[in-house]
Amino acid sequence: MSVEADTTFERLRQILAKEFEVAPELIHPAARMDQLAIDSLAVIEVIFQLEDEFNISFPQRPGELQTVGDLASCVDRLTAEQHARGSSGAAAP
Amino acid sequence: MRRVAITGLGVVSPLGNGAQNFFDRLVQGHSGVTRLPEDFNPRLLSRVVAPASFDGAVHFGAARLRMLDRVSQFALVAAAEAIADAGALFERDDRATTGVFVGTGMGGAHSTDEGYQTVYGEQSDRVKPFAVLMAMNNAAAAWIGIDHQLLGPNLTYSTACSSSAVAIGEAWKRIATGDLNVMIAGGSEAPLTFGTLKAWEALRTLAVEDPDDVSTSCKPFAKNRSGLVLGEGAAMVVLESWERAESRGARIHAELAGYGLSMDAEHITRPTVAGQACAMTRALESARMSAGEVGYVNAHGTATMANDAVETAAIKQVFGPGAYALPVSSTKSMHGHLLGAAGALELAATVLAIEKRVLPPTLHLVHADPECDLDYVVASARPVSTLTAAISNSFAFGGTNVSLVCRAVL
Repeated sequence: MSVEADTTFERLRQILAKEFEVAPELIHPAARMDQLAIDSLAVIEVIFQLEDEFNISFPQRPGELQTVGDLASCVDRLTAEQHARGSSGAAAP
Repeated sequence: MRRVAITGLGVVSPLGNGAQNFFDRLVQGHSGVTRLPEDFNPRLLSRVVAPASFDGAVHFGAARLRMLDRVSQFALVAAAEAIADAGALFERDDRATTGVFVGTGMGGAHSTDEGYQTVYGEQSDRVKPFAVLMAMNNAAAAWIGIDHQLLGPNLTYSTACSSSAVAIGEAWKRIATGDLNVMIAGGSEAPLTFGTLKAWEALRTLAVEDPDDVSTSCKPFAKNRSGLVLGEGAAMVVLESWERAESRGARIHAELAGYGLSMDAEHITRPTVAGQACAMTRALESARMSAGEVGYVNAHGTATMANDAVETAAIKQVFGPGAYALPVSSTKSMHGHLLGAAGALELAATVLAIEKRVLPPTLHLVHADPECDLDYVVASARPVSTLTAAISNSFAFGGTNVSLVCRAVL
């Protein structure tokens, strides 16, 4: 795992622990969101907070986000794409 | 028709939380009416309100709170209290047929207000992801059903200021006709947002602040009444078939004996004597009760010029010469107007008045209005030796009038 991914994961871990009351020791890249009591509806709230945290925009249909690692990877990909475009807020539809 | 027992009460109100606490403060003559804090948007001119002292974080975790508009928070806390108050309500595990009927006039007003502020005020696209789920009118009822696993009919009624009285009346009917055995019913309202208050201000129906004491600004039936004071909160009741309540040995607060519903069909705001009288008459008929049995009327008593005079005339029409000896009070003088939750809160006051044989007063009625000439239990609560039945009125913009009749457990 890259340093950047570590950083993303750590920031994600803090959000899940603080805002979603998930026990920090349960949060690892392979942990499924539903096993952390974060259902598909709550994932939408997680995405909303990640958009603020990383200054990115998720697309309307972000694809499979079943694990914490899926989310972290998605954040990294969107950060790279959107910051490379020099646009901090414009998402692909 | 089957008899219906009220076995549980729950309250979140401007006079405090908990049904017994609420009633104690009514009887003590406390006012929950106050002025909005200085830092509340200064563009609001009408600043007299009756807020509930309620912190959602005391009752719900952070993640849960992000899904619950204030109106749903109130409803859940009141429902939980009512269910607990009913004692071992579900020991026979009949949650599958228990229904939830809730009234609300404005639903998730805070979430609606906040969403509009985001998109129009701030020109931002960062609308909260659960805005729809928080603002929708049926959220409060839905959450009660979800939290308590109640699989029966789950309905939301919206008839403005009579919403929760309709919800309770319709729940009464479901039990009285044998359709269901247990219902959770009531109402919730959380309208103290800038947008909602501004809309009410525009209607020019809110009370003018009393220059000497803001807490006395709501003056039902007084000559110098100037309008209503918006309040917030929730009240819920547990209704059961009498047979079920008795067979499980439940403590019964009172019988919900009748329900009258009428429609003015004349004007969107101006009430009619005929419409209000019709609701009371129908309620008494459904309770198979004579007017003479009623010992107390908890009036709609909004402190608007139109309502209080019309309601007084309607009471005289229904009760005849006996109206002058019939105690009538408007507890809105203390808790303000909870709109869609008003009927439920005032039914709770009525039920506890019957149970404790104390009539809560009408406060701030110093200057009598010749058009309002009944016995309004002025200034302080009145203990009574007997009180076998009482009626609670809820009338509404739009014209849907409701009266609920309660009978004491003898």
